[in-house]
Amino acid sequence: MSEQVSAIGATGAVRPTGVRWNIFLLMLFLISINYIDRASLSVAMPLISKEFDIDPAMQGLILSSFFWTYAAMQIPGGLLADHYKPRIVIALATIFWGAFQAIAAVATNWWVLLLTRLGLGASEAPIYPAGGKLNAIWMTQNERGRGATLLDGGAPLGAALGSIVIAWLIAAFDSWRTAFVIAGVGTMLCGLWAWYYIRNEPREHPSLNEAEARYLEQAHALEDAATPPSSGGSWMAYFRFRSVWCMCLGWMFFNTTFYGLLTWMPTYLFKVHNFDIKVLGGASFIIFFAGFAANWSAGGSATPGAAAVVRRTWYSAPCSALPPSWRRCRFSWWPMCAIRSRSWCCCPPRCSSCAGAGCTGPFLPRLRAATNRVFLVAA
Amino acid sequence: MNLGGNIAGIMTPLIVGLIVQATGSYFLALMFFAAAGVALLICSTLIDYSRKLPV
Repeated sequence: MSEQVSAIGATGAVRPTGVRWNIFLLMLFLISINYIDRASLSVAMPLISKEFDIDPAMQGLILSSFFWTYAAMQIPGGLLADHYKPRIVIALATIFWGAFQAIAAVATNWWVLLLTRLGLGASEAPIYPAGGKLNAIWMTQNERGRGATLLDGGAPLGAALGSIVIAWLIAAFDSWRTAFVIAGVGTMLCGLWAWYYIRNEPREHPSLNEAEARYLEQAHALEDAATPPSSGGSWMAYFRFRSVWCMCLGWMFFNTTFYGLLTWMPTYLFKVHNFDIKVLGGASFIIFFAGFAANWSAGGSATPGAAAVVRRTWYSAPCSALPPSWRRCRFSWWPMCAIRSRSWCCCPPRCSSCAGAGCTGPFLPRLRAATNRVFLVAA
Repeated sequence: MNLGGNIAGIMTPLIVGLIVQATGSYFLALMFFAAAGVALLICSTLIDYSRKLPV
């Protein structure tokens, strides 16, 4: 990133500031927190299931409940970001989900816990559509791949950090409730920070200099001139193509392992392998950090030739590691690490899903941009 | 595409919970992840990265 900025700086008399990259690093941070908070229940679940005396089917229901409202709020969240602008939506969403995270600490039975998870899901949903909007406003066409990688990288990074941070907090205070309160209040403070730093338009930002503002305005003007008018075709037409089906199904299968590991792995390691809470955090960290590293390397190189190479490389190694996991050895969590990292290799389509200009609504424009970009990648 | 991801988010924790409840072990749950991994591999391979959609 710094090379990018300095490369631009070399062409102009005044070195442009890099405010947009600071904003996206802040977004990486916020989305990491987003995943830390959603993963916190999984890490605490071995303790909570004992305290509330809930069976595995009920645990599954509570872990799933987050996604009920999260899925339902995707499109309304995108509409909110369009209507009220990203700054206020990101700040308020962060403050609200922090509040639900903190409230979960005082739950004394399973249904209060489930209600706080519903609230967490609803308030966590707008961050991605709002981030996509920031990507369209603050990044130039060439930079959006990196912008999307910064947004997407928050998921595995947060999942990795979440397990280690929450496990450490639980162990340090000997209480999952204290850990939840600290995580929740910390999240709310980050919401205030987001309000303080993020702006809806480059010109509104106090730290931005004239050179960066000009650079962005010129790039966006060129882009607008080059954009052909929308064909207005029905999005249903996309489902005539095998590639589109495979992309949607692939994303579903990817998330089956990702969310499967995110929600159930701590309990599995705790019950089957008798990991204590601290070791458990470390193991989860390794697994999801592998995903972050893979995401980073693949997203940074989503150029024609490199994408294919990255894809092949990330496939082959982990596939060879899959069979040993069937033997359920003592460290059978280790091959899972490989599954995780390979899973992220499908991220060129994912990264480019945010890359289309004006990608504000969560589902359809993303799909549209993704399909366009995927087939451009190697064209 | 996001919808696919969210369906997985809703279903996976439930399915794993039910598997663990019914079988009393995590073996089939791990096999479920492995199967999803293989299915993802197949889907990813079937995507034609070289062609732009003619829509």
